[in-house]
Amino acid sequence: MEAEPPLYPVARAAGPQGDEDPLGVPDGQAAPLDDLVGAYPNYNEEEEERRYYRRKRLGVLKNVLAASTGGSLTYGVYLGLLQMQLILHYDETYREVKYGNMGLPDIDSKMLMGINVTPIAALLYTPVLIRFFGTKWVMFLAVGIYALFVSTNYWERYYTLVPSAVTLGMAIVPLWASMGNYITRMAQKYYEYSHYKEQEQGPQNRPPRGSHAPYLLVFQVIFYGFFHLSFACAQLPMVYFLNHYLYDLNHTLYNVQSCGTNSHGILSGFNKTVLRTLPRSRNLIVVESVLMAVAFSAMLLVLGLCGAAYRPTEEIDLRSVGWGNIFQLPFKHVRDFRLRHLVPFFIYSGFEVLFACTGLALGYGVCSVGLERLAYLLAAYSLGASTASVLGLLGLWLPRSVPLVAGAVLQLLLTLCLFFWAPVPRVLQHSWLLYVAAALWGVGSALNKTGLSTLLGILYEDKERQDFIFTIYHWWQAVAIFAVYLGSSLPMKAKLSVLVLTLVAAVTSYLWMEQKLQRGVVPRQPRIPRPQHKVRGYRYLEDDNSDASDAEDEAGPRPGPEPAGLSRRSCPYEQALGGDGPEEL
Amino acid sequence: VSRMGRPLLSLTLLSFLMSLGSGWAWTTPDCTIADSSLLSNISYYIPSCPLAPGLHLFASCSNVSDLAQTLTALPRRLEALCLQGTVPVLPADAFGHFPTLQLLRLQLGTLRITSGAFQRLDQLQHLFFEHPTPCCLSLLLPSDALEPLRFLNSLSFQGYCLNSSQNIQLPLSLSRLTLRHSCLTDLQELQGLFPSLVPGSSPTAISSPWPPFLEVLDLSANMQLSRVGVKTLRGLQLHSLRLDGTPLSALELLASGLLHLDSLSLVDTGAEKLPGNVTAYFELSTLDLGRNQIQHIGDEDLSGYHSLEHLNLHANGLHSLPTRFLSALPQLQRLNLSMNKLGPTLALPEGLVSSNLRVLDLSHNELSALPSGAFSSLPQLEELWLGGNNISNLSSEALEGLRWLKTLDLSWNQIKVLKLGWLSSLPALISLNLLGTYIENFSGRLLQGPQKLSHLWLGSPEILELYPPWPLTLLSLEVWAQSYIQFSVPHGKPFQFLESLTLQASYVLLHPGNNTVHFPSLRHLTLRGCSPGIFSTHKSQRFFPQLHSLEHLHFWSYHGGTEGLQLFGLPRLRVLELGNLDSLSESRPVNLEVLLEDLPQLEVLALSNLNLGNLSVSSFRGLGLLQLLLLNSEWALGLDSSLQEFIPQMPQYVYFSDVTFICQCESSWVGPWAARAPNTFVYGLEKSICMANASDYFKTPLLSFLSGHCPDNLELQSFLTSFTLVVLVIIFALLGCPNWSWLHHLQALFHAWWRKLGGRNHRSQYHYDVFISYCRQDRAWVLAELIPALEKPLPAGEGLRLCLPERDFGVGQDRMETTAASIESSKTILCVLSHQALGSPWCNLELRLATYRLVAKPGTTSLLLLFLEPIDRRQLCSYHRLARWLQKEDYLHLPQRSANWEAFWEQLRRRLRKAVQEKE
Repeated sequence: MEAEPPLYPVARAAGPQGDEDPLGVPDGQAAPLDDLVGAYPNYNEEEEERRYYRRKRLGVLKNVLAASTGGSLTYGVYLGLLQMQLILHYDETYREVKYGNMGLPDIDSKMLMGINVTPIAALLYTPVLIRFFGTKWVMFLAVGIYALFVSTNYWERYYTLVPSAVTLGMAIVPLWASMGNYITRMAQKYYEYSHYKEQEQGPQNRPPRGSHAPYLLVFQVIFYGFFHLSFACAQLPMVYFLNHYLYDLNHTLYNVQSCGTNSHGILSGFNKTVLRTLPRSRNLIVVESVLMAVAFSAMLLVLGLCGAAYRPTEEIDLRSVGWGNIFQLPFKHVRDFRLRHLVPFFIYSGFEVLFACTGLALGYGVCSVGLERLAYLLAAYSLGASTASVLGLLGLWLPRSVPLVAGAVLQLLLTLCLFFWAPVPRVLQHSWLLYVAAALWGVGSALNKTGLSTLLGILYEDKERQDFIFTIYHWWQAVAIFAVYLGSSLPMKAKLSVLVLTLVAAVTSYLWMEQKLQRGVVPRQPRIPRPQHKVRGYRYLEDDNSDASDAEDEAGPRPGPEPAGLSRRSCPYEQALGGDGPEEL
Repeated sequence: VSRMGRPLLSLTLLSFLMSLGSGWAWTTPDCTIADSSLLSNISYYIPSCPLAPGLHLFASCSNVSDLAQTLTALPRRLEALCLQGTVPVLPADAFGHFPTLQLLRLQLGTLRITSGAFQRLDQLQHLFFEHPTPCCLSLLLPSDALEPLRFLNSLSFQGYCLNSSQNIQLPLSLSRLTLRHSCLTDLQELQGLFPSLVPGSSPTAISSPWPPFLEVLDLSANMQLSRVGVKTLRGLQLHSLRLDGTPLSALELLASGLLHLDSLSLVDTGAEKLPGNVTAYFELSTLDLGRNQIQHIGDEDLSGYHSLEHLNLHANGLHSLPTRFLSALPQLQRLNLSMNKLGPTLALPEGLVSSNLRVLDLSHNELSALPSGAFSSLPQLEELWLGGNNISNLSSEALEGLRWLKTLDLSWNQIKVLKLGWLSSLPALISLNLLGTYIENFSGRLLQGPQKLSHLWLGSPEILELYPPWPLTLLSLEVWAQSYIQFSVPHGKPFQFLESLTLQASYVLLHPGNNTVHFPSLRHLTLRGCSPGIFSTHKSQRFFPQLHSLEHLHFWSYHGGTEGLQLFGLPRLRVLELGNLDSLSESRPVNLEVLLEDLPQLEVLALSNLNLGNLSVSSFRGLGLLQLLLLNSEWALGLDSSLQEFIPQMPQYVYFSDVTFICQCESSWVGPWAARAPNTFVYGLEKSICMANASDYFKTPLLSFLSGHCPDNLELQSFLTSFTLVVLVIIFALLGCPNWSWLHHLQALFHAWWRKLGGRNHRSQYHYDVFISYCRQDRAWVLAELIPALEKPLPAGEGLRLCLPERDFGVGQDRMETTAASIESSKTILCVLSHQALGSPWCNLELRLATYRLVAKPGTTSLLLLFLEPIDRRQLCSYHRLARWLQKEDYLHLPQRSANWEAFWEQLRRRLRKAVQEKE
């Protein structure tokens, strides 16, 4: 009840809005309050309304920026820390001197298993989690879990690292699914706020299909621009700290025989010692503290600056579908042929990033130019991807399939080139080629990620299924990453072949889907059940409880003044039902 | 999005991590691990392990009690292993970790060996069981224990009784068998022990296709071995038999069944005569009779010695040799007569001119004069050892006829002067030893005659002045003097090919002071007691200008500190040993950084008693190839924490012997480093002590000081802090953002519980007992009836503190806020309801606030409804679900007739009392 009601109903003072006041006075009896409020002679309703919606739009932009920065910082910190720790732990001397008989390799492998295997179970709980806590709060929780993981790296023991890695693994899919959902939702909100006039005129009409797509595109571009920057941020610990301690390539690559397409596994023959000098534990603590501080500020950023994705009522409605239904719905969405057709692309999307970071950066990069250039290679990838995210804006003018397929073709060409390229170990002459390849791969990645996320946002407009869709998307990525985890010791040629096959399958399947849609084939979507409000009696309390602004700006029709006693009012959520594509009933 | 690269490196590195084996080993306490190829010339600093030639990496462990634990900590590529300690049982496959092991020396006390103990030791060549004190511990060796050792060459039991073992199968490759200090009494016991060795008459012996063969059978020091037994060694082919220090009579060997023997050693058996029969019977070529009592040899004793090639009569008290000596021993090549009493004038027996004698040792025989032509009967002589005699005068005539003499040792004689040309009759001389003589001026001209003289030792008690010319062929030169050695080098490069130089003197001078002497080929340089000025930074003081090929430098100074010492111009120096012999002088700390600045090829560095002070990483900058670092006799050594970063580049072998550290937490890294750093073997830390300051006599072991005083839990603290912080932020954020009704509810319950827990503390928050909500129309009844009934002081009324909006609200206060605040601070809310009240906005507000509080903060307040008149249920429905409310909450109906009011008041009071008491 901390939110004070506004002193006068701002935008839509007219109309039966008495119910909105938390200390509500029944309608028709508002006279005493009016006395208190007094009259505003110069009140220009149009102007006030315009300003109000502009503020709301800026708020949405702020949300997008905060979510993007928060996600990118979190991921950058996580990645940078993991990279640093794995390199440090890889070094035999460091490991033995610092951890001795603790069995660090075992702990690390268990940790990686925790990170890679746990997300497989995410399909079971992610939607439940998102609906239970709400999108923003899942984001916050997951970012918090990332921060916890960072914090456990101060004290590396079995009982800190492994549990935190497992928890982190559990948080991965919820985090990115809710992020995707959040961005999509923000685009829809932005559309609502910029077209408030149309909404007012026909409150019952849903916005035309695809109307929010341009905003969605821009927002996804912003998000992925930031997100891909996280790979570069992750290199900062290496650039500013770890690189001073590393041996050069003549030492680390002394026994490496073959690179690139000829290599087997990951960096076979790589020297067991990579550290020229050992970092002091005090310095390490300083670095970890910096990372911790960034992770913590990312947490606060998400907590403080990200507004709610849904109005409280909407969240209640989303939650009230019934937990069993929420649990089942991701699986029921398999009936939708659009999702089925996109699954190869989801898988490829997971393969592709991992290949950039392991296959390309390690098998081609580190293997030939040394560990000390890993940071720069990944930074090239990251910057390439980040800037190329702008290319996603092409979707504003071109058909939506063009950027997606263009990214895929680019990566296909690159993969084919890599098939015939075996860089010579310890030779630096062709390092520019590596940087170019990394950057180009980044361009492909950016097109892929923005394209897919935008596509999902456009195909599934109704907000009550977006979280399912994004969960499915990220779950498939998790499966792909798990597959890569299992097959990390395969020869490079096998990996490249799998990559090419998946890519071709993904593109074919996607184009087939587009063609089906053009033919007008109607996808079967599982019906979302109506919300069953158990606590119907006190809904008004929750209404009042929501943010004042959120409560006010509701675009849909407000419930009537008649007290929602025995007859249940229809909520905006229900009104929204049945608009988005034919549903299976 | 993607958790894209997430596992990123993870995967990558994962596979590395999984492929890592612990193929390396690191130091364990009480173990020395060393590479003997690096320890040449400095092995005396650390406990070592007697090795066979060609073996490099060895480990020597003492005080072993847990064998498995010790062995897991040793590197797998060990070539030699010495274990000393107490291990009762050697388990199966005990040494399977060490496939390359070639030498194994066990001093483990009473030992029981299980049959598979030596599995997988395919390359083992030497196996020793030793016990330091003589006779006897028991050793149980199963018969098949040695079977896996296919390449075993020598097997030794020393100080062990093998009585409990029987029927031991020896590998075919065995060529040396040693049984010293055992409880062997009869050679016959060998049959039972090693049936394959002595097939003899033993029926159990497994007939093997090869006849048993041994190079050496060593049965020395068996004090009880007195019987041989008939034909006990029949069938054994033996080259050499050692019976030193046994009471066995050599004659009995004739009946032992041995058919052939080349070499027989009978040192210290108390023999007084030459064992002629034995020599003749076996046609011995080598006979060692050292430390016996053969004081006289007659001509008649010498029959049957015609095959003898080596004869050792060391320390026998011989006075003279028989005249037929050399002719009776025509094959004799090597004759050792040292430490006898053949002096004062040497009288060698005349022999055939064609005598084959090549080596003659006459040292320590109190000889004082060598007659001229003393060795003319020995034209083949190549080595002549005359050290430790009293020879004062040596003429060229005395050495006449030694045309092939290569080595001449005249050390520790009384020679003062040598004449020019005294070596003229020794054209083949290579090595000449004049150490411990009294020659103070030595001119190179004295060395004229020999064409190939390459090794020269010179020494005098006080001073030694050396004059040119020097033979160009000189490869090695060693000069000793007490106070100074002076080189006179007017011009030229006298030491063009000199490779090894040893100087022992306080000062080394150069005669024309401004001259320099060049040693272009010098590879080994040993300086003992010289002042450090010899390597001074000042050109004028510096004796050695530049030594481009120097590889080994051993420099011991007596002069307190190494001030002014700077080593430069030594581009190939591999081994450097620096020491200060003067342990008493207080010298300033040595600046290693300056000292070792310019030694790019240094591999071995041994520093002894140098007062190093604090070692930091800068001391070792530029020593990239350093493999061995040895610190000896250091006082108050500090190991800087900057060295911690240097750990990966630390030399492979680091030894501390007799080092006292400073007790400081700066060095807390050494514990983990010494115990666990792979590829670095550290020795001596666990025995080191540390001192807090110079006056600290409580000598604490360094490692226990570090573990006790230097806790490093900053990591744990940061972890706990950050973890708690994050968890708290998450929890409070979740709790503080009440977007979920369940959370809200939970929060409220918690509040209530908390309040209950707090008890009386929270009483003060209630200003009123009852808040009464009513509308204007009901005011009359409330004021007239209700208030007196409740508010009257105790005996009559209830004495409740009532809050009436009209009465208790202050002037000028916002009514809404005050209403909310008053409801908040009242224990109970009594709503007086009527049709009018339901229509009144204020009553509605109050009712709403009250119901809200009930939901939001259950337990903090209670609501009592008082209906003044019956109200239709349907009507109630429109007001905040009052109807539902009434289903489960308290309400009272005001009776229509005032007669029933008394009971009603009573009921009301009871309810209110109860509600108020609950709050308390």
